[in-house]
Amino acid sequence: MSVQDIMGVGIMVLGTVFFLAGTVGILRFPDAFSRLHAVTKADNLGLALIALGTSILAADGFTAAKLFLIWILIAVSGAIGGHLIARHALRDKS
Amino acid sequence: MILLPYLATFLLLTALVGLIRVMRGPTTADRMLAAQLIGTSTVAILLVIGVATEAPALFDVALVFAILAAISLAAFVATARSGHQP
Amino acid sequence: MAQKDKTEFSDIAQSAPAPDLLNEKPALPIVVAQPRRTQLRRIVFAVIVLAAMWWMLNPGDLFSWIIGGPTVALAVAAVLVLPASAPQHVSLSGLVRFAFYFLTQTVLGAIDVALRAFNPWHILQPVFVTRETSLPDGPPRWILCNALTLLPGSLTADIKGASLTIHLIDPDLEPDLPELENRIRDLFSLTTLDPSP
Repeated sequence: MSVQDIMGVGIMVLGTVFFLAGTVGILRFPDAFSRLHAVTKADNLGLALIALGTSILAADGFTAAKLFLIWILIAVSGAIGGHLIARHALRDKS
Repeated sequence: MILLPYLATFLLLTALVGLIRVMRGPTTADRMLAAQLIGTSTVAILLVIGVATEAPALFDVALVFAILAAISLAAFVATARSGHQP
Repeated sequence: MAQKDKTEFSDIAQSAPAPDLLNEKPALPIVVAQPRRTQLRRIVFAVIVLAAMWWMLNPGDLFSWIIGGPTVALAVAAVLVLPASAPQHVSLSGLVRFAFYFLTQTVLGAIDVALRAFNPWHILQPVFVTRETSLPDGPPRWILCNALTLLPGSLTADIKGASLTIHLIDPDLEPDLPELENRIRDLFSLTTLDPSP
């Protein structure tokens, strides 16, 4: 087991911690808006860490670029989607 | 890497627990944000399994899921808007 | 304390009646002089970017271009059908600075929300605040909304013209809106407004 492997897996373990935080957040937080904070922020960083760890383990530039593209897609759709869901919830309420 | 299948299982469990929010709601926004969380978890699980089993094709599957996550959000917003503005 | 920034910014933003984000084409009062991108330049740019992306996803696989060629052509057609956004000048150094700031803030935001989720004694007291932005309509304002969503503690819930409804997970975590706006101006090479009167 090389240093690279340990680093990659360590980063991925850290990523799962943020996924756990996201799930705990959507179950514990009191309203839809606070839950959105958990989904957009914690899961976004969790996926970033998983993708980073995966590209360290894969050790390939093209794979890293693909994983970066996946993360960008999820991050952008997460941020825009979070905003759209919040707006829907807000206009639903009023 | 012996640890990676456990990581994937753990991620699957967090996604499953997230389903509680889909069932409970109470609003459509709650259900949709839980669905968004499950979509992100799916992508993460695919990445972990892809590197654990050395199957890079799963990264392509993850890419398709990432695009589908964006499309499902757009579909939600489109239907929700038309549903509430008769 | 939630009202302290409002007076400084509302008078800048209120100078023009703000159009609705979804229904109006952005009329950008952008100071930077950049020649209007012609149709040909758009096509060449789209072909280069999309072909590079396909090559990145299928490295070294020549046969994949049987699918990739038509796909790139269709995607370029889709780009041409969609309305062109107004020309924006994005400064490269500004982009690097903004990306660095954005990444650190994203990490801080995620750690903050994770700690709140894991702390069993923590009780959330979320509030809504309304703020006026002085950024021009169009991409600068969209970037502001989405950056706010990923910043620690804040989430853009609604936008009506220049008025943003921001959800704060904690009243003390109000983001420094003027600073963020200045960073976005730096990114788009807009002239920096001095927030002090």
